[in-house]
Amino acid sequence: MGCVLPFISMTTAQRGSSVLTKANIPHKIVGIDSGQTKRGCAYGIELAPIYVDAAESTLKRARVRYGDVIQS
Amino acid sequence: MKKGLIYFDNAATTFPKPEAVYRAKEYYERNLCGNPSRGSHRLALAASEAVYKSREALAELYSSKPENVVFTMNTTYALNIAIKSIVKEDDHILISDLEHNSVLRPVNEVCKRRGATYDIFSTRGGIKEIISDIDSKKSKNTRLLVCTHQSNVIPKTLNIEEISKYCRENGIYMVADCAQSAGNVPLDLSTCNVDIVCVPSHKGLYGTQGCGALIFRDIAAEELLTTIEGGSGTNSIPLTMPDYLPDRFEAGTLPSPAIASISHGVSFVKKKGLENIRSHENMICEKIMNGLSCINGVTVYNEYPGPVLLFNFSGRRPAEIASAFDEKGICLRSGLHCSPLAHRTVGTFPDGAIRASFGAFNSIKEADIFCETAEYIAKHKRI
Repeated sequence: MGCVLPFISMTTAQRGSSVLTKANIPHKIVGIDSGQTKRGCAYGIELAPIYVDAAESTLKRARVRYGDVIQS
Repeated sequence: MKKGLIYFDNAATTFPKPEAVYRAKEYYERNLCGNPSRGSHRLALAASEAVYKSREALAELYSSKPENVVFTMNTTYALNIAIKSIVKEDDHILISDLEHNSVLRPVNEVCKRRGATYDIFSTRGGIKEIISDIDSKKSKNTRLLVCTHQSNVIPKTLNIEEISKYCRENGIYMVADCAQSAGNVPLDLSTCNVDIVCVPSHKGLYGTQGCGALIFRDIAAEELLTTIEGGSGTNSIPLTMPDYLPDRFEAGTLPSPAIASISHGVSFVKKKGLENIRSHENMICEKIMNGLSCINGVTVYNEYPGPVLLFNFSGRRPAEIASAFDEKGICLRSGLHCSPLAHRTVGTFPDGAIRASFGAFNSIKEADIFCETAEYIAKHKRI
């Protein structure tokens, strides 16, 4: 059971991934079903729940935009 | 490269490429070639990763962000997207008198289709004279200025930092054609006001052919019109393209093997140093300029050395001279170099001239051989 932070594009997810890697936060890029976004296919970053807070603050500091956390 | 061959057509495409570029492209084709941003299996993600590395490399080179790097097929596609996304009905456009057809033709076409108009400003003199001419040709509906950063015909580099400042002060979008300057002349988008830079993979960035890019400053992408619509990998339900970069302008499958080569080409350029590459090319050019100045009947159009050298042999057609050099194993390009406007400005229209253009892999020894060959060709006119 993990959490997924959704991004508007693969490129933004990759920038997010780059920022989280530098911060030593374990994660991986995953696809998100179109039914979950209402706008079609998307990409997100999956991580364990214990890392979500750290990941969100790291992404905010780096000004990488993401959507509401999805429970996977 | 075949032994004994001298390649002086680097302004058309650099050759050879760094070994790392060949290796990267082959590795990509054999091992990673999923479709980037399409699906989330390991090969699709590996392909996306390779593409992202090149986005990062270009973003760093121009002080932008990876999201602001849009990949396309080549610089011409990039310029078409930039020009046609900005210009609306009844707008006015300014271009320089050194423009390649990759600017002149889309500008002419967009004017025909959308009832816009354009004027050509002079690049003669220094930046004050250039800005003054731009100012005299600007009108109240001028929306866009497009100009080359470095000409492909003569070694003239325009001070686009200053031109972009003028554009910003006057509410004009600025697009820079950096086909020749990428990897040769630095440009910092965080400190100048150029809105979009268009670059190729296969010239001064030493990547392979098949890819170009638009590098945006932070501008409102949703206000720009799309020119090509289709699959974007994400946000697939709406009937319109996404309103964010880079997906707004990346419809369809990307030329990802060529894109993957860019990060390796950029690494090569950064390791060598842009300034060192430029100095090396200038040194070769100067050597040849000196050699040609000793041959009767040769006109050199360069005022100073640079990455390109333009010349003619009196009374002989440019194609004949380029062909004579080719017979001796030296690759040059004759004609108008897809830049009739620049040749009009230089005074070599309609016959054009012969261009030698240099790269990081050329040597002084090659310059010596070129000069000896030029002397031989001058003395041996073909019937």
